Amino acid sequence: MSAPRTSTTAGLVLCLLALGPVADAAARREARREYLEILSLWAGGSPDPAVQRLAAALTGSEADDGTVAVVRAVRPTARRLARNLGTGALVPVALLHEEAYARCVREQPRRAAGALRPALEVLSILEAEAKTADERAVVSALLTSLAGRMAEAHVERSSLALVRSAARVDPTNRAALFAVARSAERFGDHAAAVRSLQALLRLDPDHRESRLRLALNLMRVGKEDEGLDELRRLVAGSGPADWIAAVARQELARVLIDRDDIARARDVLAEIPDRRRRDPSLAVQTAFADERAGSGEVEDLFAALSLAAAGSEAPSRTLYLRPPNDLLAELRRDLVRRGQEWSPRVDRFLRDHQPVPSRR
Amino acid sequence: MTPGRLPGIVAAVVLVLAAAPSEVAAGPPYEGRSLREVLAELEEGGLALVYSSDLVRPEMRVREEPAAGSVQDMLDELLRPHRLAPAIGPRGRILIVRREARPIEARFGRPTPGELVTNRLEVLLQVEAEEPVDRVRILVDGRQEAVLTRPPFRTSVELPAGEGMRELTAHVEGAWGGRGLASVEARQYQVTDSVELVLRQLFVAVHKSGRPLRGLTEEDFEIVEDGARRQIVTFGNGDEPLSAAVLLDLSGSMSGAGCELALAAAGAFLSRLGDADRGMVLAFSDRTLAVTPFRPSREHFAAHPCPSPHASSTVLNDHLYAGLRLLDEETARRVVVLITDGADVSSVLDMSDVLWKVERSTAAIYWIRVSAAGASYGSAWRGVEDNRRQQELLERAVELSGGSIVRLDDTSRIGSAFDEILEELRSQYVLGYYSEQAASGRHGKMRVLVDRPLADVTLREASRGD
Repeated sequence: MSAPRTSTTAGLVLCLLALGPVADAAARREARREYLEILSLWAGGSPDPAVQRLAAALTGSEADDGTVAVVRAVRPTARRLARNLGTGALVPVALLHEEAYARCVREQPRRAAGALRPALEVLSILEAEAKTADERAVVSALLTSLAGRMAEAHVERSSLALVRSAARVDPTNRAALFAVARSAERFGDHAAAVRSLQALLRLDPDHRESRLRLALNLMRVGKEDEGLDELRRLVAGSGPADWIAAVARQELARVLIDRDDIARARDVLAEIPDRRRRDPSLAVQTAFADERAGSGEVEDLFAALSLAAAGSEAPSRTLYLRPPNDLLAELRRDLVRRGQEWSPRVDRFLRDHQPVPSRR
Repeated sequence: MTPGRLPGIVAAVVLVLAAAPSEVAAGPPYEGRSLREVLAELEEGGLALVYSSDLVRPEMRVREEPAAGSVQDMLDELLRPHRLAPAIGPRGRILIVRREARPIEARFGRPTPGELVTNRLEVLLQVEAEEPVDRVRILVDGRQEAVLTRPPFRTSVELPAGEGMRELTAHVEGAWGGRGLASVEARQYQVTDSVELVLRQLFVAVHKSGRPLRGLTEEDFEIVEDGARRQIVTFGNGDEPLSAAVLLDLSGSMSGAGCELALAAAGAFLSRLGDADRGMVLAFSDRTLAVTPFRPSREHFAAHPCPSPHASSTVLNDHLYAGLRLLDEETARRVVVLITDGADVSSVLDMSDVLWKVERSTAAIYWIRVSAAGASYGSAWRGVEDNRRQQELLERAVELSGGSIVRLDDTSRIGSAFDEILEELRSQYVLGYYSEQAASGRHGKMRVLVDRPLADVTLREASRGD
């Protein structure tokens, strides 16, 4: 195994995050001892205290001294673990830093950016070490997972950069492809969204949400007929009566109304199942189609809006903005499983090679 | 016949029948029974009737239960459908005689004499007859075009293409043999070109010495478009009843204290509406939060609790369309008061769809624009550029409707913004006229003259396709 080096992707991100002043040698030793204790807690099965102490170390001071100290402690530790145990040993380390970042976002959002530095340092070392397809898949998954946390914290541009790296490292990473598509769509890069979604659907043709997004983005880049074909595929047959089907029908109806094919638009809307009929956008679109056809009763719209006001279910079009991300959840479950597999070995290594005075 | 022999009511009727109508008690049901049998019953009750069996034949039935309040009228009702009538005979007897057929008066309500008509002719015949009308035949230039059997005698007739005078005649045939005739001439013209007219509304505020000048009438105004006087075709003033839909955006920036203030201000606005006014509230975020029916302002909505803040997603376009649509069946002057920062996120309707609606609605939109933030945001539904376009179209919709935008930097002034709008509505005159300039896409130079010296006239206009 060659000497660890910093990869281009994470290294670039690290360069953007300028390092602070150099701590003196004693402080550095103390910081490293504290970091090893935290890592030992995490790997030894005490995740909450570990995350709490790491988050405190990262955000404890006004300046970014804590962050710098942790970053300096991360580098040699991660390299030693990778060299002695293999790159898999860095999975639990990366997950610890991801959890610490998420905690900082929740509790100290203004200082949370500092918590990204050590997390990216670990991923950088891991990416540089990854040689096999499986190792690259793990790096890609960890990048995607961290990017997901950043997106949840509305750090969207950096999240997109990270998840694009994840998709490059492992082009079969469906969660990364989906995340790239969602972010690209969010920033108006519909052509990029189409490319990612088409790649994803080649891997997973049954992913309905991706097909819905592909349809809409195809129409946005001017390929309206292709988009309509995708929508028709979604609403054909007896698929699940979920928000995806409802949005697909509404978008199909919207295009039909624009084309003055009101009768077919009304048919498409009428087939939205009762479960989704409390959606006010459906009530309004139906009323609009009716009025365009020169029919419809005002009382019906009022009744439908009253019904919608009494409901509590999130509207379909809101779910398109904040969908339950099944691919990311699946990816994280797999990472946690891998982390749990590696943690005992990391714990043993730390015990054998590093004197840990006490566990607080 | 002595009064003592007769049952009380019928005896009294006989005594007064020749002189004045009398009240009648509720008798047995007559409808469907033999007319002879009913008359015999009345005779047994003391009514002295004289009639021939040729006139009152055995097959005659009472066609309809009489509803008259006097015996005289009741007898008339029983006999009328059979072309019979009661008449006073010698010694107070009542003779049943055949009704005389009398001429029926008829005249055309539409078309009026000399009216210009196209090839689709609306016909309305006004008929005055003592007897039931069996049928009306409508002829155009001697050719029968329609047969009507019951009032109102209204129909439309397709004329062959062509130009020139058309003679319409109506032949009215009464059930008792009465006849009526009416005729009118209309001038048919051929449509070879059309002039598109757009109904343009002008919202005019008139002040004198800084105070609104109320009580002006249509005759006090004169509309001048590009130097040409235009006829006022609709007129309304601030005293006319209002139907107001208050649309409250309670998402994002409007959550928390802003929401409380907005709800309180909306409630105050509705409570200040007059007895004849109607108001409703439609509150929304990324969903419909509350919708109240239109109701008199004194029973206006009880304050709805502010919802817990939702994410920034807002469904503005859809709810603006809904507000306009809900106003469609209101007969009073229609107004939408919209409180929002103007940022739509996830509506299914584009603002151009709402604009389509605005062009077909007579509602004026008043937008209380909370914060002057630009539309530099994007979402999975729309990019930054498209969102900017949505806001521009909303501004256009407000302008087109003849409403206005009241800008607020913070929500603490929201109450006074409502007051400002209500004051404007109460002091406005709404003048409608047909504009050829607007139809051709041009914007004529407008002036409104008011027949009051030293009056200040403030003008705002709305144009919609008609």
